Amino acid sequence: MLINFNLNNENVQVDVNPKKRLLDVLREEFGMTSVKEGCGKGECGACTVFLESKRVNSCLVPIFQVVDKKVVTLEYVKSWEAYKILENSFIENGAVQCGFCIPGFIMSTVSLFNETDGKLNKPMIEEKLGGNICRCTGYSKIVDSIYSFADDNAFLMKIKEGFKDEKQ
Amino acid sequence: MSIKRSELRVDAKEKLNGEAKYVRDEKIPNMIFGATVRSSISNGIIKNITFSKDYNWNNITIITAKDIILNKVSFLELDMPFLAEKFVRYIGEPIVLLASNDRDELNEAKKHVFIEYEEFPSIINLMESENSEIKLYGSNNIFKEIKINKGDLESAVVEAKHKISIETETGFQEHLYLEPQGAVAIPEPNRVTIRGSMQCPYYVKNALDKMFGGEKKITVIQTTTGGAFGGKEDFPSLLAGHAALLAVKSGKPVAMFYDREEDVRYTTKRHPSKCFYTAYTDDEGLILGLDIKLYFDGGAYSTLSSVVLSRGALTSIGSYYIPNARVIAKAVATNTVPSGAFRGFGGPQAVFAIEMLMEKIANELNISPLEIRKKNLIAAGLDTITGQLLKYSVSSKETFNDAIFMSRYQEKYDEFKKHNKNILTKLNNGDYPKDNENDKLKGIGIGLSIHGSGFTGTGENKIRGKIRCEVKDDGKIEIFTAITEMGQGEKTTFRKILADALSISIDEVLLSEVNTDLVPDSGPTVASRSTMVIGSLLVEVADELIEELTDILNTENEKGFVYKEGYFYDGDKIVCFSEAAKKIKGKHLFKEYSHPPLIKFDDINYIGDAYPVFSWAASIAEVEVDPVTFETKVVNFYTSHDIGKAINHDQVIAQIQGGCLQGIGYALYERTEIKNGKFDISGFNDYIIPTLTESPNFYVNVIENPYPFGPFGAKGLGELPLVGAGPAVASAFWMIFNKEFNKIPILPEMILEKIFEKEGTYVD
Amino acid sequence: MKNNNEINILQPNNLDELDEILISSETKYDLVSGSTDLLVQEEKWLTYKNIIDLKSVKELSSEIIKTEDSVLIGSAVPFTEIINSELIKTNFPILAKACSMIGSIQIQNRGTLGGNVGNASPAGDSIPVLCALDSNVLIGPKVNGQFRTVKLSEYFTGFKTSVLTENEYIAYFSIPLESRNPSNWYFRKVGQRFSMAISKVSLALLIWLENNIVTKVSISTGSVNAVINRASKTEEFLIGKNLTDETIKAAVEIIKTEVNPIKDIRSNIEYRRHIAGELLKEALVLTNKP
Repeated sequence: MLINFNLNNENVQVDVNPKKRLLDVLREEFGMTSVKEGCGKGECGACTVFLESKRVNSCLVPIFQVVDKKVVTLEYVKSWEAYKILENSFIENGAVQCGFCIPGFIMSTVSLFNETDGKLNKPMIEEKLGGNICRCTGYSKIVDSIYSFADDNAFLMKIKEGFKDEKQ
Repeated sequence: MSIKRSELRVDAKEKLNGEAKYVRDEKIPNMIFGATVRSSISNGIIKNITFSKDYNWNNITIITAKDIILNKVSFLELDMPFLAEKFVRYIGEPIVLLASNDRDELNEAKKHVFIEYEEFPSIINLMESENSEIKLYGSNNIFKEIKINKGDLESAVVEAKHKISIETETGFQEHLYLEPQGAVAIPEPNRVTIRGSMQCPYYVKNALDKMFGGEKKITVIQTTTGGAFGGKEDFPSLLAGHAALLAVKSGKPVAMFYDREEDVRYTTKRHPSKCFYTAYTDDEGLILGLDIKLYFDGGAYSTLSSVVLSRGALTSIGSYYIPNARVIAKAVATNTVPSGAFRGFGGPQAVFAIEMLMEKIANELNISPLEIRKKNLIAAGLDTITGQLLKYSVSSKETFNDAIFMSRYQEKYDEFKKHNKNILTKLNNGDYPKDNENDKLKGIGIGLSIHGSGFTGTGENKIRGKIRCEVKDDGKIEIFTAITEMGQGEKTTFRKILADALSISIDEVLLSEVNTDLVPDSGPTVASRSTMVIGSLLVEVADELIEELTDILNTENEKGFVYKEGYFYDGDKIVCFSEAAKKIKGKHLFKEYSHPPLIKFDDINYIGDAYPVFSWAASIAEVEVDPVTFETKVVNFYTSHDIGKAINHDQVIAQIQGGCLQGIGYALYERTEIKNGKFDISGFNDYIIPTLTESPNFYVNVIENPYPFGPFGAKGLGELPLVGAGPAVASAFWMIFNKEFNKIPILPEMILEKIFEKEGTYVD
Repeated sequence: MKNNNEINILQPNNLDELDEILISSETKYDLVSGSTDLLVQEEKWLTYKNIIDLKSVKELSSEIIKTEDSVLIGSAVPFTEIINSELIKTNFPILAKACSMIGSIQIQNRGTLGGNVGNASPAGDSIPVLCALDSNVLIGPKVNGQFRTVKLSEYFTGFKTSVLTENEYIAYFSIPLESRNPSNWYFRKVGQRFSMAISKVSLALLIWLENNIVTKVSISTGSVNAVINRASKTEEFLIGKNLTDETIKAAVEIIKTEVNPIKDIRSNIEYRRHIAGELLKEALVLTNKP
């Protein structure tokens, strides 16, 4: 089946089995390797992408459900200014170990700021990033990397810019 | 030379932006996929394998045991086959391999392979193995038995005032690395190249060398590895073997990519244990003698069970001084997936047992949990279970005192006891136990732990880890080692050690990819050995380079050059390291490790220096229990670790936090049992590991008590954090409920059951 | 083996298009909503050939509307929309709370009430709350311009089975406005951990008091019966009573007889039964507190 959708701000078309998972289409047809399969059942968050600006587990979305919709992956988000700041924070805080969960964590984090307008406290971060599992770090340094922007309005504006850009 | 406090991880950026290539991310032309047909019975004989006639097999490559030259996976013993041939020993044991370019077709084809068995009764429970009529291994199903005797237990029994016993039990633990197992085999006429997620490329190479009987040249390349924790120590040899067999037969690159369900069902787990401890003490709780029996469930094949058991036995007295002891440890066979390596490697089971014994003695003799530990704590000048006299880098007391101070243990212990009293009384009376909705039972617990650095016994001297360094044209130094990065920070640590030893920038040190054609056998990336063993070789490399370059400069200039902070200088001249190094560009330096000669161990009788040095930790867990639902949470976790020297401080903290959380998971959430012959889990939804919400606030202190033979004084780190976390958490439950908690994980169901035990009271 | 061509996907834009397909066709259709429960059930998903995507039906995937006597929620509205809906937050905060405890944010952005109920799992987190809210299920396609209406408490016929017949779909959940403004409401889900947890036991309660006397109460539990239903004996017992310690203790004993839990990988019978009682105790005790 021919599927048209918008991927990272470009209109694309693929001819695939319509039941194929968005995860597989992104990885196999478009080489988007930031989208990782950790469980295939929506339980680890490693395959998190944005569908219509909302974070979803791409392993649980059949491709026919993205027809004419907008999909954004880290491959696109990494060009955002907000990403660079976040990347730096994760590096400075030593929040990365094996790295397999990290692209999903970044996507969830970016989304979290968008969802909450940046008004974050630690319990909220814990609760709202609960869908992303990490086995290496003990999460502490990941939270540190994010918490430093909890009330940083300039950072929030950059996140919003990214999402605005994506909607054009 | 001096060590910088911290260096940013060199691999963080590419992992963050998604560009790091894990094995599934690589584009390998013409690659097809492999699948495994597995045993559906726990024990029996394969009578017949049939491939249904009405199915079109043209597009499918098939491998059975008959296709394999040497059908044994080379670990310590040759007992486990790559594919079962005559008999099967566990549900899920690989029997047939299939490969195709179409994964849907592969799933269909699997349904057309029919295996006929003669089924035998099986052994599932580890305590039934030794005396079972069913024989899985040798005459008594014992893979390994270890006996250690110290002092004179009989006289301690006579002298003692109290005899206090405990039985402890720990279950399987699944690694649940985020990246499931995966390997690709790429065939060439006389060669097979393996690319995969792994800890120990030379284990894989050796296994495949043997499997092909030397007919193929084997190259093993480690791809970016998404977590391992021991789970990618032994298992990848089997997986890569499967991929290689299919690749050679099909003539195409073959990927063996497990999905999560296949991974959790059929790959190794931590050995379940049953431990029986009887302590003989005086009136004050001083242990005079200790009688220990350990049973580890090795599963269907021996794999690494003998060495896991060995570490368990050697760690069985924990951080304590026991003058008279007897240890009998057995690893037994059962009809379950072979148990394998897992961070801690026998230590967590043994340390849980000894720490729970401490709780029990404290409880029975009415001594505080702190006091009982303090009284029996080992110290420099005392000897271990093998008679190893501790002479240096002993921080049992320092970590103990530090953790207590940091956590304000005693103050909180008293405060929490008082706080809980009211809640427990109401619980006793069947009243609603809370004063307000957020009211919780509060506990504080302590756990001490110890971990021997490097291989057990004479292991290091047998394996003799090797590295090579090469001086590049621009004066940079490249390190070649088979030690792998799996998330723990090795790439940064090794470059940092050499850079700091030379007082140069980390950018002037390079690290080769892990490819067995390029790197020498440094030994496996296991046993908390990498930093201590390979790190010390890197310091030797630095010393040799400085010495050689000083000599060259002296000869050239007829002067006396001195090396300081990255520069060689004399009265007139100053030359930076890389400039000087260019003079020897192309030079290779080889180093090989063995223990300092004063480390001596008798492998047969278990006497002497079991490890060159131990790392020490004391942990305090603050736990909350909801008195309505008995849901648990560790809210604060304090730990003090002595690892000799922190090579990369920030990443040391990160390792400790991550390891402790795995220990917390082990204590509170992580469970799987054998149901109808197989693991009752399928992935993240039913094997419960902590998410962010279950992660406590961590307070980590690193004490630096240098090991004289380690690089900058460093000793082992990686496993220790996991070992002591579980017991600290369990200790908090003894404190809250005043009852025996001798089994982990401590699930709310178990707490409820304890509360309804009629005997005894849970209010102090 | 290849079956791309056999798979037929229909994405009707609105209810009229949807009903037209279902009424006129003899094909048996498989209905898909947020996919979060479906794609993890590989065997079931493999059998899906003629698929109708309910997410594409505008009314079902977007509408949360107030009628004269109820609030209608489209069966394919994602949980996130329900959680953020002012209409729901004001009238039925208990439902917003329950939806916010499902899976993770990623799941909430896709998952739907229709999927939760349609999947008919006794562990579906929204179901006890919908049940306690006395919800109706509006089932399409419309016959003579009318949805078939079934009480949620009568919707399930057994473990994972329901009154839904072939080519019927859940269109809306209708929550009566009478379920607004209880004196107290309570929802608690007990899982193996906080996030990403499947419940071991959950309990939803809405209670109305006048002069400290219970005038109306609705209670529903999750994961402790093959079919999620109202705890009607407990409810009957409580009506007309003052919530004294004795009454509460007696009610706890009654509800323990109304649950019939099983042992599975997540928990055991004893725990589930005991905790169902303790949750009721908590709900009632907290009702008494100012």
